[in-house]
Amino acid sequence: MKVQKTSEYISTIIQSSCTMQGLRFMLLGMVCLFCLPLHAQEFTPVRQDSVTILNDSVLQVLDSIADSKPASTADTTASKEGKFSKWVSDAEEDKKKLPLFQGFTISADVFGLGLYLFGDYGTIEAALRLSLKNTYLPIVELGYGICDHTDFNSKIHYKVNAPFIRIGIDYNLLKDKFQDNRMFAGLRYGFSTYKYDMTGPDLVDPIYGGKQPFDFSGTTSTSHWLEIVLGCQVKVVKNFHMGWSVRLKYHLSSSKNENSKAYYIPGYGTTGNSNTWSGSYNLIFDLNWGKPKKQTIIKK
Amino acid sequence: MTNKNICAICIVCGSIVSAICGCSTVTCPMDTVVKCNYIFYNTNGQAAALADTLNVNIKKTAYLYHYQKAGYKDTTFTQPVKAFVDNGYTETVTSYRKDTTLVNKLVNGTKMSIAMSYYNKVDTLVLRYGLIYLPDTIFLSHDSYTHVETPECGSYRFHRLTDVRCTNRGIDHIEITNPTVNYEGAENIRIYFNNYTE
Repeated sequence: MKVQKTSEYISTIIQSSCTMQGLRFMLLGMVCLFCLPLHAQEFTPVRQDSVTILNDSVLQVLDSIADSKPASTADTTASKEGKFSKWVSDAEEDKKKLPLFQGFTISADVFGLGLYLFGDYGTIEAALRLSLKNTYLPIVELGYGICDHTDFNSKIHYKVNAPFIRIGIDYNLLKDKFQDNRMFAGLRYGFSTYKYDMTGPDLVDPIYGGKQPFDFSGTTSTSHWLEIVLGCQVKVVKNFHMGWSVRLKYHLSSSKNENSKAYYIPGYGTTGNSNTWSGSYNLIFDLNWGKPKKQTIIKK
Repeated sequence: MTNKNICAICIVCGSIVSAICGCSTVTCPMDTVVKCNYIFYNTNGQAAALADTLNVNIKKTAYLYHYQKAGYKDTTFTQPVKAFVDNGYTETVTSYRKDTTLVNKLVNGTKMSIAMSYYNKVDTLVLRYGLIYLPDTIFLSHDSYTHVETPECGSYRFHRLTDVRCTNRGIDHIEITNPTVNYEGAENIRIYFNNYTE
C-alpha cells in the first residue's frame, strides 16, 4: 500500500513540476545525476563499507528529502536505514517484475523549432526511444541544425544547414516503473559533419594598406560532443505524452581549420565556450509494437 | 528546513551555478591588430634593455590614382574611382614611398611589438638609434592568413614567420623563436644588440 501511495505521490509531483514539491523532487533527481558513483551501484539499498563518505552523505541527503514527505501512520515503522533506501529497494523489486521490452516511443522537439522561428538558429529534430523494463531507455535522436547569423558589430555572416545524430541512454528515476510518467537522467553522444559559410566585409590592412574580400564558403568540419540530460515526461492522453529536458553539453572536438572556427554546430549550439546549456520540449507518441499489454503485467 | 535539506539545495545550486558560469560569455582579444613581439638581448644571450633611444619605421609603398580627360580638370585620389573610368577619364597610377613610424623614441626598451602587413610577403623595418648614425634594417618574410574565432570578435590576420635577416650596425644578429604570430602575445623574434644594452 505504501508503495502504491508513494507512486501516486510522485506522479502528482511530475504533473505539477512547477510547484515546490515538484522542485524538491527535481533537486533529488539532480543529486542522483551528479553523484554517478552512487548510481553505479544500481541504488543498492544496503550501504556497503566500501561506499565513500561522499556517497554516504548523499544517501543521507536523499533520505532526508524523502523523509520530508507528509507523514503518515505507516511512516512510523520506517527503519533506521531511511525512506529513500526503502524506496530504492522497492523500486528494484518492481523492476524485476516488468518484462524487458516495453515498446518504442517517437518524439519531436518543438523547443529547437521555436528557437529557429524566433532567433538566428535552431533545430528540427525527432527521436526514437526504446524502453527496457521502463527503466533503461536507449535513444537515437536525429535532427537538422540551421543557423543564419550576422553579427551586429563585425558584420560577419555565418550560415550552416546540416544534419546531426545523437545516441545515448536515459535512466528512469521514478520508483514506480509501471506508470506512464517518467523522470529521467541520461547521457548522449552527438556527432555532426557539416559545411559552413563565413563571409564579411573586405579585410582592410589599417597600417600597411591593401584589402581583400572576406569569404570562406564551403568550409567542412566534423564535431563531437557529450550531453548530460535531465528531464521528465507526463501522459496527456492515451498514447500521447509531453515532456521537457535540460541539457548540459560538453564540446569534445571539432576538426580544425586555419581560417575559422565553427560558430554554430548543428545539434550542439554556439561554440563560445567548451560547454553550453540547452533544452528540449518534446511531443511524444507511444508506439505499441510488441509491447506487453497492461493487463498481463502482474503487480503486487 | 533542516540542515540536511539546506545541504542538498546547496550541492545542487552550486553545481548549477558553476556550470552556468563556465559557459557565460565570449572573451575577445583587446587588440584588433595582431603584433609580432621582438625581445631585446645582449650578445651574451641575456635579456637586456637597449641603452639608446630607438625609432622604428616601416617602409611601405603608397599609390596615387590620377584621372585625366580633355577639357576637364585633372583629379587625383589615393583610391581607385571606377566612376571616372566609366565617364571616359584616363586612369594613371603612380607610386611613392610612404614610411610610417610605429615606435617613437623608445628609451631603455626591453621589447617592442610591431604590427605586420596583411598582404605583403616581406615587411621592412628601419631601426634608427640615437647614438648610431646609420640605421639598421630588418627584413621579415611571412605568410598571412585570416582567422575568425567567433563572429562577435571579428576577423584577424595571423602570420607565420618564414625568414628574418638584418643589417649589422647596432644589431649583432636576429633569430625567430616562435614563428606563429597571433593574439596570444608570445615572444616571436630575438634581437641581439651589439654593446648597447644595459
